[in-house]
Amino acid sequence: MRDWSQAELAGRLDVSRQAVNAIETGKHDPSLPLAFRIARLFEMPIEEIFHDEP
Amino acid sequence: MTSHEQSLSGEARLKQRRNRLVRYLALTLFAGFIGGVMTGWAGRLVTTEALPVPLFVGLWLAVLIAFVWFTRDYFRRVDELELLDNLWASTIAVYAFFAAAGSWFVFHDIGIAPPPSGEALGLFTFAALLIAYAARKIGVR
Repeated sequence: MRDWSQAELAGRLDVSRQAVNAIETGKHDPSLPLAFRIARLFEMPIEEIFHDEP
Repeated sequence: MTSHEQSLSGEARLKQRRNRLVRYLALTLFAGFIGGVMTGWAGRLVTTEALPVPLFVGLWLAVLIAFVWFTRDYFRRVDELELLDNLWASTIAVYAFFAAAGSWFVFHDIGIAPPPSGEALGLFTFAALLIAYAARKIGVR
């Protein structure tokens, strides 16, 4: 995708670095507004970034 | 977000965000300290009848409103993960309080424990809150 550090991504999303880390490691499911911000930032459909785990 | 902030890199924006939060926390801690000192001082004046009770109640109410306002404002400033960590820690602390208080009252009623102490229960609840918050922070989610 992009060669961004967690801190860079956190700054662009206006969240803490810990939040980015928790999302990346699957310890936190982002809210819908944050998931949409992430999708907009990466210019990708939301379902290509987040997958349902049955 | 201002156009100046948008022109910054994400890392610079994150640093700004962190600094803003630290300044805000320092301000709230200072305000809390001043509020505590003022109500303590006013309380002493009431006991010596140097301050009318309605004035003390007014001051107490102002400090209480400031406390609630700052708490609400803090939760609106932090991101959703921090908010969740705080809410989970608070929920666990409330459960710990009711479990401890209920148990202590029962043990006291059957004669195997001293009378429940508000200070001890308050400290226990605060300790439970800190432990739950720290556990969330080290990744126990």
